[in-house]
Amino acid sequence: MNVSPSRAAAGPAGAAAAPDSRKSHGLQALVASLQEGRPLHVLDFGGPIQDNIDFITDIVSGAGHRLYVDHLLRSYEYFFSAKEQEEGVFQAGRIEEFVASVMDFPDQSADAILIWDRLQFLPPQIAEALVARLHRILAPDAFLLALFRTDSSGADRAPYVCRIVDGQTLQMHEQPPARRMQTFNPRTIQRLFQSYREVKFFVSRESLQEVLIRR
Amino acid sequence: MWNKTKKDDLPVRPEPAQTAVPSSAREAIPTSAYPSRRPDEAVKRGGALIGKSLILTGKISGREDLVVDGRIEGDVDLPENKLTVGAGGHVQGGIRAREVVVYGTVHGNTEAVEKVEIKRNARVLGDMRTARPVIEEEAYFKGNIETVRVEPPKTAVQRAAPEAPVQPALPNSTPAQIEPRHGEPRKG
Repeated sequence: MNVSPSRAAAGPAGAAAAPDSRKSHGLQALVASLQEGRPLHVLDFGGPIQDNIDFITDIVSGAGHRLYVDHLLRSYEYFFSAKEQEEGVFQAGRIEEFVASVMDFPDQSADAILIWDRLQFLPPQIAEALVARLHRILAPDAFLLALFRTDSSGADRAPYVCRIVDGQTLQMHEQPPARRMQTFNPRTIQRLFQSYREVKFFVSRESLQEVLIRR
Repeated sequence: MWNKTKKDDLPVRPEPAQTAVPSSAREAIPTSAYPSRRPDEAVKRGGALIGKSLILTGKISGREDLVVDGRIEGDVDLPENKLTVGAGGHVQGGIRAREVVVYGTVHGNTEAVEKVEIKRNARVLGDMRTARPVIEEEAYFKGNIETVRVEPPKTAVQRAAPEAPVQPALPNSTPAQIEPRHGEPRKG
């Protein structure tokens, strides 16, 4: 599946920069894991992107998988009050409620998860709770794809819109508004996903790390 | 009956079942009798409109297009028609239609034989099964998307046949069927 340049460039109003196409080894491995000839359940927490929906659910191409879509950052903003977000203080019960509301799936029911760079824009305690929940709902040997920016420590940055161009190419651009970004390095990423079987790093351009995590 | 002769000369053309105001009746009304504001989409299309101030509780089913600018608390079943949820519209319940376009809010599962279109600024929470899911990026959507193969409805085939006598829609006509492409997904 290919995206016409005009369609790809026509991002939502306020998009900061032109989209940038790049090869994604993480996506390639994840897509390869979905070639089982049967419908699988894929979770995408980057929000609705038409190209991603088409790529994963398209029955013409033969994929025809069931895709769960949620915009994790918007769900976070809807769920927590402005005061909670501003102060960064979250009661354990509230975090549990939030995690249950955004990831209400049976254990080991997801065949692949695309979380993109969303974990980096959530408070650490919430990101940790979500990662623990993802471990429960991901099927054994299934993959989770995450992105981390290793530059701009502590700065406000806009999250990426990640558009699947084909099975090995992503088109990305930052989508305002900018949000507070947590700092991660390979060591903290390893620690975050320590309950998973395997964490594989792919260094990309512009200090962007693709991380492919196997359950 | 000043125009009786003229009417009799016209070929007999049955009106579609969903037309709320027959075109002949509209022609008989002077233009000035229409309200000056722009006609609603539902009226233009010959469908029904649930206005902004209306709140309906219970199931809605039928065979005409529907525009919801108010609030519906219950299921909507329009297997052969289009449902439009306007910018201020809210549906709290399941939807089954030929085509669904959402500008407003839907809390419930949506099933459409042809297409579900979720416009920017719309808010949809629920699963979607359709042949063509179209979601604009500024929309808020949370749920499963399942693309399904479309089996053409029997009634549509009958209507398309040139030799078939023209009849109004049958009360017990079979609604459009939609089938999963590969069977049910794996259960957790």
